[in-house]
Amino acid sequence: MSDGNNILRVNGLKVHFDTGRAPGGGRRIVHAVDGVNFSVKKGTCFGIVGESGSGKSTIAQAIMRLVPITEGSVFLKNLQISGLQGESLRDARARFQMVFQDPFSSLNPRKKARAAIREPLDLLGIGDAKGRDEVAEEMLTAVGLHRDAGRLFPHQFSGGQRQRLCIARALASRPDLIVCDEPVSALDVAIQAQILNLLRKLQQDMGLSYVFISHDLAVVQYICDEVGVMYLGQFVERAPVGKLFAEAKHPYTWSLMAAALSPEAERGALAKRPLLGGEPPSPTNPPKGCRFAARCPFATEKCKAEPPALRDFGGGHRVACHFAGELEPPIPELKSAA
Amino acid sequence: MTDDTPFLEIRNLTVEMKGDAGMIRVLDDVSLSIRRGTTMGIVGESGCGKSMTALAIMRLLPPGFQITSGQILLDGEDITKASEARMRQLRGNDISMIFQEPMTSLNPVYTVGEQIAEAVRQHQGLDTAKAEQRAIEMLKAVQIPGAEARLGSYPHEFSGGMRQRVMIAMALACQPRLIVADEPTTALDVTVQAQIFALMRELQEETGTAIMLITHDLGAVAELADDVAVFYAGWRIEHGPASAILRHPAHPYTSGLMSCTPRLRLGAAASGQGPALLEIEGMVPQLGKMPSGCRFAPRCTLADAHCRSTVPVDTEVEPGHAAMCWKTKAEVLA
Repeated sequence: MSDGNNILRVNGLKVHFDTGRAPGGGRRIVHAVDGVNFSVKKGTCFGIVGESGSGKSTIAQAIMRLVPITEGSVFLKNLQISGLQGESLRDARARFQMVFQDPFSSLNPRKKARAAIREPLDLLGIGDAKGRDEVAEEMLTAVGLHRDAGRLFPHQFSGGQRQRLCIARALASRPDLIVCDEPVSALDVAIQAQILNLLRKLQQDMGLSYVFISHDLAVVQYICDEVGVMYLGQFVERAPVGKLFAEAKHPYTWSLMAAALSPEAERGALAKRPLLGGEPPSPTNPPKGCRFAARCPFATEKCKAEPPALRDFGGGHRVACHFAGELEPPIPELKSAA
Repeated sequence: MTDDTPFLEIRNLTVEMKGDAGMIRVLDDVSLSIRRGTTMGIVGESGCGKSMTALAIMRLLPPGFQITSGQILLDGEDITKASEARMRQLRGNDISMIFQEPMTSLNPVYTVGEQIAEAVRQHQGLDTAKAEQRAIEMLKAVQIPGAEARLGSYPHEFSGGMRQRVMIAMALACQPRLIVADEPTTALDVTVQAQIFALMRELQEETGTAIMLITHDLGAVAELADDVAVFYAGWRIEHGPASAILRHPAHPYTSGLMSCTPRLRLGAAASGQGPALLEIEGMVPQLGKMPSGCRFAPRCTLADAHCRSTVPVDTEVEPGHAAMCWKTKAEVLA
């Protein structure tokens, strides 16, 4: 973990939100992120998958310092960004940028494309006016738009082009890390493929590192090198991408895989798969034992009483399940690999 | 419960919108039919006319849009000519709609029970007590735990998945013969989506209702649909049985959609880099700026001068499976 190659290190990250007084006295604390560790090597992409409310976007916001960090630390190379305040935080912002899910609400409708891409440079005081315009044009071509497109307003672009603009804006300050929060979820499948391939190409050309948040396993498999599966504020499984999809060991990971749809599947195939019932419990009062126990078909008394540790299964594969490695995966493809 | 007589038949439907320079076609000569007890998947990118077709069936087109030609036959009755009073009878009773966003399509100031009961009171003339009973039955049918207790809950007290169940309960309350579901699970998590799809299939088997499923997800089509219609830029460019279209698409646009959908590779298949995702270059043409000839030609790798100049005709590639393309034969053989 102390590899000097790491762009990002997240240690014991906790983000709790105080949502007011609880009915029976005390406070209502939402445990959005509850003890998360991971690191991102230079030039790689770390994926975080999970359902809504699992805390994956909160991790993104915590890295970006958009929400207060309750506990833990975030290092960008050797710089502890979790401890920065005021001016020093502002200066560091050039080094980590973000791409949001909705390319419609994340661009100012009254700013032309060039001004939008220049904005981080303007705010951070990088370069002079002429230099900034040149960077903006360079970024426009890098993301596959015409250099003259800088004169247009956001409404003159399609959704996919707008997401390209957002990527160009994130690239403008030459960051080490880009945090992408569901960057293709709002796009049509044809456009989604364009953006995924663009992110891959930029990664190769510029040596970029990504934190990539998505609910779509197939997308994560396509673009990520390492993946963490989140449930209720914690990783339940974390592994290099090849290992995760070949040898997943956590029942929650299996249930995500079972629910995935495929154009090649038989009609009604879902009915034959082990589908998860119910919904995640509230992050306000997370269960004492394993957080997944209430929905887990394999859960025992032990699971309900004791939280499982994220155990090492070799080759960077970690699983938080008391019975990991002992359970028979309900997905036929996984059996053959085990 | 399936039979071959179409319950809904759309014949040569054209919908136009008032533009700055005259009328703009948003749906152009679209025909399709849905058999009783079956599901028709409508696929395409945003802006291709999928939702417009749904709204035309419901006769809920936004202001400025109108049906300018064609017929929509619901069990033989042409509803493009139906009066507003007749439409109010049909909506809810015979056709109902499930919208994409369950948060904005429920009224936040009424309880869920009141909203379901209102539908049955209005349409089936049940009294208050019977309507409430019906609402409880429906909430049970969509597997909401503690249905009696949840009747008095407001929409904000439900999760997204639960709200979509409420929407489905409401849509089913009057036992419609056709449900138009516009991206019903797009806003939901995958595990919840799987639950909703399983529920829709089960309810269809019990009630024999026909479903029109609008989606951009070919995986959802494979899971639910008997038949598929693919839309592009206001045209229905391919239609046929779902299994045929997903196994051997005849239109280059459909095969393009197939090859740009990322596939999950599990087990032994997960090792190494997967195949690169192909892209469909460019984007859907803007309304009112349609290219002459085939509308897909500017993005099509197979297009030639003929494609660019002449509107393609619907060509049958196998019984019941047709594509609007000059190159379909070449594509199928390739």
